[in-house]
Amino acid sequence: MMAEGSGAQLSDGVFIRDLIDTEAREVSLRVHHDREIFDLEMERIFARSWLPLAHESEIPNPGDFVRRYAGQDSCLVVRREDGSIGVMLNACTHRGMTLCREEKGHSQTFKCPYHGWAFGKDGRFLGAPFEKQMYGEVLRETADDLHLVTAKTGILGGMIFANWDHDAEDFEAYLGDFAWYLRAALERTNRGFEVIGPPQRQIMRANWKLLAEQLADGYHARALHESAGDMGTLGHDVHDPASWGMVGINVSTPGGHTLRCIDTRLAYSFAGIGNDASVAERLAAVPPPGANAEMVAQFPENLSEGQMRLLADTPPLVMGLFPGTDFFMLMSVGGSADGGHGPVMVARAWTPRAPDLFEMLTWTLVERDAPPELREQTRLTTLRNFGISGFIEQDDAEAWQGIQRSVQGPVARRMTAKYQARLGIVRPDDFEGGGDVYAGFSRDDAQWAWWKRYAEVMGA
Amino acid sequence: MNETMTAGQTATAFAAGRRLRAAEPRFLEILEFLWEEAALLDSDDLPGWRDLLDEEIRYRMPVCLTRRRGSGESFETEAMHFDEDLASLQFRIRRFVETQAWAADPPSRARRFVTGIRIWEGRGKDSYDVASSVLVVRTMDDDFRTDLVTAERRDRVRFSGEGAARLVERTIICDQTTIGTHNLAIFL
Ligand code: FES
Ligand SMILES: [Fe+2]
Repeated sequence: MMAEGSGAQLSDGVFIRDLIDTEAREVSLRVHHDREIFDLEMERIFARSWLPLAHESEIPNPGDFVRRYAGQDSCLVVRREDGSIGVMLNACTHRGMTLCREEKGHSQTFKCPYHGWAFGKDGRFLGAPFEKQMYGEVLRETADDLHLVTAKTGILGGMIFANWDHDAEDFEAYLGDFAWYLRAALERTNRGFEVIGPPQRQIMRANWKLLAEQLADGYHARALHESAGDMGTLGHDVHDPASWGMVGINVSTPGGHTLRCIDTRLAYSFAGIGNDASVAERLAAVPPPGANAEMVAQFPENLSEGQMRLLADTPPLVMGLFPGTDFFMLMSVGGSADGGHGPVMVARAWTPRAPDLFEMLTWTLVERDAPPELREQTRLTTLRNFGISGFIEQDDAEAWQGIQRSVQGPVARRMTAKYQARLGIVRPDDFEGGGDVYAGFSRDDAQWAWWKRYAEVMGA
Repeated sequence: MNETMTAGQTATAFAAGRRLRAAEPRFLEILEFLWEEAALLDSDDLPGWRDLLDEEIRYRMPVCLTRRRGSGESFETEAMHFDEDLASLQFRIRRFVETQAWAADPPSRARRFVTGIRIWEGRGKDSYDVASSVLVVRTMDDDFRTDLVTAERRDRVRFSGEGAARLVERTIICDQTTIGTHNLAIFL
């Protein structure tokens, strides 16, 4: 399958690089179909990437744990005795039995149901039943090799990421220039975010990339989310792309992370605030999603001038991390109890299961300091707009599954997905954020950067 | 019925009242109500379904988790798949019926098999606690594969002065912790 030096090659002789045409900016639809490509992705991407598993607030006390998938592997996310967090493979080192059989719980140790080997909250091998009679001193001598397989961990905005590859780049390097944007959105207040309970989990009959690459696609709002326009929650002026969220700032970084920010300056005129108002005045008048005036007052303690300006003028809407995470923060969409407005605050993760199937997890984020009414408003607006029953996301699922249906056909698989709408680098004056910045109409630039990263890690 | 909604929920103990015998007239009326409701949803008559909802409807589907026996915490009280009142249900229905909602156009065909019905006298006059099992078989487009969702439903049904049954509260406790369908653009 692999030809050294010339990139990854599939069994029919086609190279991965042939599937991603960097000149024409087109991607063969075959990438969403082939089992061979999928297997390569699992090995080259998911077994070595930083993947989000849980939020710290799901496991507040030592011994609290949740069970999740990191890539294809079942794992435990555990709060250890010293308050730190460990991510361990949920497979017993004796013969591979599933160690923990519940999805959430509290335990001081993890005991294997098969022969009873026991492991600590930190994954250390503690002992085996009848150890002396069964093994004599053998296990004591090899105990260091019997600890559970652990992953490296990193935390951002309370979200716990893990990476199975201990040689992989460290978490900060992985975030790169994107950290500046993420921290502005997720670490803006003194106490930060928590999640409301465990995530929704659901299956999607589509290839995982159809979600991952869509994150920077502002263009689909008008057609796919037409009903949001009809319901008065998007596209107040049908002919104005800005009102469909298609205008703002897109960003991509070499790591394949993509960001869409919506220009909210329009909102200031509604709030009676001129564009000459200070950043603090603008933030106080129109707090970014999920925040209130008291929280805005904490921003200067946690954010730079440039980050504050980002939140005031072009708050991040969709923050996609390559390959399997995004954060979504939106204000002013419908579906709250009064049919009015509220914040939609989401963290998502996706786990590929097969070329045409992935599992999706959706958490609701809320500021720890949110007063009860804001917490409840966030919870309800979020679940009504996003996640499995969310009326915005219901329609996105149709596009992902619709493309997947197309690529079942060999003729359709020979077609390409096209990304020629190019804006080029447009960096506003005094913009502090790093990466490649595309200010203006949300064109294909950031999405294409995602595919460039994909090609790179796939060895194209 | 060993787990009940607590923390911030309006529900009090479910199924605490006298259990109705299957031959009692009220049992049969409620049985007919559930059949009627399922038929309306199966035939995609969403405005018709809306007419069976009480003004005070609370419609919830908590996130469920696999837990150890006896943990008493197999579903969540705050994390939800659905948490609706009349306004938000009407919003959803209006979207499906009146706008270009791709998730429901063409509509998927979902058939609801309602069984295992048990009924108790509830709080207040003419109010009943109703437990049922539902199997939803969902078919999309020309795909022969079907999505299956199974759940226990814990309802409160109230009879109005004119004797018409209305759904006041529904809690859907799904058996799948990973929901086996791509969206919940359907009602259960
Ligand atoms: S497989 Fe776990 S103790 Fe044997
Ligand atoms: Fe979308």
